[in-house]
Amino acid sequence: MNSKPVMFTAIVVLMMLCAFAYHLRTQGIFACNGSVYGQTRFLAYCNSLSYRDYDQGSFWHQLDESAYRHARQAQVLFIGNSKLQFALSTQATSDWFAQRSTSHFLFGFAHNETVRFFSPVLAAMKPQARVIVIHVDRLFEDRLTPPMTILANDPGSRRIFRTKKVWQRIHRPVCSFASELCGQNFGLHRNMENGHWLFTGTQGRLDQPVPTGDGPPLEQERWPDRAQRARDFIAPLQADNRCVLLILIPSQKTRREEALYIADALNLPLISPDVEGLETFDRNHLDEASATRWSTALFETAGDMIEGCLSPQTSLDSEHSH
Amino acid sequence: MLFNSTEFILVFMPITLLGFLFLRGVSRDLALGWLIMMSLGFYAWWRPLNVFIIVPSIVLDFAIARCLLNWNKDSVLGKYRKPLLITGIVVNLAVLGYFKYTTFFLTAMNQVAGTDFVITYVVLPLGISFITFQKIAFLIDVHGGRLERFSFRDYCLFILFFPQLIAGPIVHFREMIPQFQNLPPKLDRNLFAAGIALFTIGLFKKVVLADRMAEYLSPIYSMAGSGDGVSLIMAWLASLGFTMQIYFDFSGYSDMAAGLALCIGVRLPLNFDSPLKATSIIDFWNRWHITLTHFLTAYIYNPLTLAATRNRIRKGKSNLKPNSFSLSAFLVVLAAPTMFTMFVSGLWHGAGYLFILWGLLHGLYLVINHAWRRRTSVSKATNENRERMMKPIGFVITFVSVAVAMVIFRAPDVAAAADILRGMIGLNGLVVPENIYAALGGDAALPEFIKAGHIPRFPLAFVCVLLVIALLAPNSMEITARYEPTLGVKPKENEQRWLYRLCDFKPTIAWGFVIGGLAIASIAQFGGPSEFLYWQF
Repeated sequence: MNSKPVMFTAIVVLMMLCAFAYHLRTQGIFACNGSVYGQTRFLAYCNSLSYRDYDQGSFWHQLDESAYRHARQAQVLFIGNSKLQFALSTQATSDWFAQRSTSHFLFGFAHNETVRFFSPVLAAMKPQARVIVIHVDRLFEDRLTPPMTILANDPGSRRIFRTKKVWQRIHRPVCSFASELCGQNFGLHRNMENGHWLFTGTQGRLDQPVPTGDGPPLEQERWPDRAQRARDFIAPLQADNRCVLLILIPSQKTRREEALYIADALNLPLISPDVEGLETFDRNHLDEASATRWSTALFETAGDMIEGCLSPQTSLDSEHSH
Repeated sequence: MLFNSTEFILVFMPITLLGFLFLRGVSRDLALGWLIMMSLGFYAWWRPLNVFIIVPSIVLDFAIARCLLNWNKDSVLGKYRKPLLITGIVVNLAVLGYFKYTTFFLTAMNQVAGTDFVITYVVLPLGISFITFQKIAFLIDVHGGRLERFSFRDYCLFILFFPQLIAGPIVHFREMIPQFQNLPPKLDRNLFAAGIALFTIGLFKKVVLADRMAEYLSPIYSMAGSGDGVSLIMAWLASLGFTMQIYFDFSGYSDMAAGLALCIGVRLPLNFDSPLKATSIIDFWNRWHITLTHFLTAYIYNPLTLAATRNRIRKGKSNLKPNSFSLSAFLVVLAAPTMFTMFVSGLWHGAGYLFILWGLLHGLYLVINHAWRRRTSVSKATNENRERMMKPIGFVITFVSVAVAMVIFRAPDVAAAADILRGMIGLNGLVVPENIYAALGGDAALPEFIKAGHIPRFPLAFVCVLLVIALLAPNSMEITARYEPTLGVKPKENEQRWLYRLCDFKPTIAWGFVIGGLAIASIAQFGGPSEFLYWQF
C-alpha cells in the first residue's frame, strides 16, 4: 500500500479527538451538570474518573479567592464533613443568618475530611469567625483522605487542582450553551459566599430513603487519641475568645457515643437536636426535607448560643471558650 | 506535565508542534526559540518553582563551559581549566545531592549514628538526575575538546528540549544540536506520521499495559512482609508483573519522547532494544536504558578501569589480557570498577538502601558474567554448537536474574522484598485455586505446603500476554525502523519473520486505523492512577 502520511495523520488525530470527546463526556468534567455555576459557585466534586475532588484543593491552594475570603471573614464558621454540608445547605440556614444580618460559611468536605486537612488550612486562613461550629463526626480520625493524600504528598498538587479550575472555565459556558453535552453524574457545586453545596445529577440516591438512628460504638480503643486530637485542634481556635460549639448530625448509624465521649473530654456540650422521622437519601446524608427540619431545629436549639457569642457583651465567650 | 495527560495531548502538544511547524517556515531561529520557551513552560507546569532551580543552573553551567572553551590550554588561564571542570561537576552533583539525597542521608545518620537531625522532605525538581548527568557530560566534553563551539540558545535547547527533559534519554550535545542546526525548512510528512505512530504506541504501552499491571501489583507489594507470606504463584506474579510494568512504562515513555522528537524532525538516541530478550546480563545492559549505560560506562567505568590499568602497569603487575586470566587483575581492573559503577547506578535510581542493593546485585551479575566470558574465552571451548545451546540457557538465567532484582527495586522495604523472594523459591508455600486443590485430592492427598486459596486469574493471564509481547513481538523501534526513528536504528533488509513483516509500519490508511485504535484504547484509560516510574529519577 502507498504511503499517505497526511491521511494517516488525519485519521489518527480524528480518532484521538473522538476518544477525548467521549472520555471527557463520560469520565471527565463533562459527566456532570454545568448549568448551575451562576456567578457564585464552583464545581467542588464531580463523580467522574478524571475530575473527582476539587473542593479541598481550592481552599488548600487558595484557588477561588472569593470562597477563601468569605470563609475567612464569616462570623460563624461551620467545620465538618459532607453530612454537615447536606444538613445545613438549606434555605432555613440562609434565612436564619439573613434575618440576623450575620455571615456564615459551611466549611465541610467530602470523604469525611479530618483535622489533617483542617488544621493547616485554618492556620493559613486565620478565620475571623466569632463562632465556630464543629460537626465532630469522624473529624478527629488520623487518616489521609484521597484529596488530602495528593495535597500532602504531591508537590505538583497545585497544578492538579489549578487544571481542574481551568476545566471549570470550559465546562461552564459549554454546558450553559448546550446542556445536552453535559451528563448527570453526581456533582456538588459550592457557593463561594456561604459554602453551601448544591447537589446535582441523578446518581447517588437510593430507591428508598433510609431512616436515621444511632449506630454501635466503633473503634473505642481509638477514642482517647481522637479526643486528644480534638483538644489540639480546638485549643488554637478558642484562643481569641471565640465560641466553639460541637454538633452531631444524624445519619443511619450515627456515632453518638463517640461524639459524646469527645465532647465530654473537651468539656463542651454536644448539640444534636432530636428530630423525629429524619431520613437520609443514601444512608449517610439527610435528604432535603430532613435537612430543612434538622437545620431549623438546630437554630432553635443553638440559635441563642450563637447569637450570644456574636454579641460582644455576652458571657457565653467565657462559658464556652475557657 | 505528563505525556499521558489530557492537557498535554489536547493542548500542549498541538500548540507546540503547530507553532514550531509554522515558525520553521519563517525562521529556524524563531522555531528553536519557540521550542525553548515551550519546553520551559512544560517544565514549569508541574511546579513553577522548579524554573528558579533549573534556569540559574543552566546559566552557571553555560558560563563554566564558555570558560573551559575559551581558556586555551597554553594560556595563563589554561591551568585553571581542570579545577574549573571539577568545580562544575561538584556543583552539579551537590545540587543533585541536596535535592535527592538529603532526606536519605539524614535519616541514615539518625538511624546509624543516633543523631537527631530534623528530617525535612525536600521536593525533588523534575528530571534532576537526567539533567545533571547531561550537564556533567557536556562539561567533560567541552573540557576534552570534543565541542568547539556552542551558543547559549543551543545549550538551552540541549538541556530543555521537552521530549527528553524529565526522563531522558540522556543525550549528548554533539548528537542533538547538529540536528537542530540542520533542520530542513519543510516538514517531512512521513517522519511526522512515524512520530505520531511512535508516540501513540508508547502511550499505549504506558497507559494500557504498564498502568493496568500496576493496579494488580500494588496490593501484593503492600501486603508483602506483613506476616502472611507471599505464596509461590503470587510471588512470581509480583516479580514478573513488575518486570513487565517497568519495561512497558519506561520504554513506553522513551517511545513517546522519540515520537515527539521525530515530529519535530529530530532523532533521539535509542534507549531500549528489547532488553528482556537479552541472553546475558551484559547484553541486558546494552539494551536497557542504553543512554544511561553509555553515560556510566564512559564517565565512570572507563576512567576507573583506565586508572586501575595504568596503576598496575606502573607497578609492573599483570593486566587483563584476552588469552589469559589473572584473578587479581580481574578484581582490580574489571570487578571493582563494575561494582562501583553499578553502586552509582543504584544510587542514581533512588535514594534508598534497596536501590543501592539493586545496583550492587546487578554489579555482581555483571562481574559473574564477565568472569564467565573470560574463563570460556581462555579455555577456547567456545564453538558454534555450544553457543547455540548456551543462548537459551543464558536467556533464562538473565531473565530470572533481572526479575529477582526487580523485586528489590520495587519492594517498599527489605522485609517485603525478602518475603517475595522467599515466596519465589517456594518457602511460603503454594496456594492453588480451590477447584484445582479439590481436583488434586485436597487435604488428604496433598502435602502441607500446598493450600487452597484465591489466585487472581486475570493478572496472571495479563502477565502472560505482556511476556509474549515483550519476548516475541517486534519492538516499537523495529516497527517504525523504516523511518529510522532513533539514532542508530536502521531498517532490516530481507526480514524473514512474518510477524515482523506484518508490523512494518507505513503511514497508510490501514495503519491509521490501527494506530487510532491504540489511541482510543489509551485515552479510555486516562484518569486512573498513573505516574512514570522514571520521571523523578
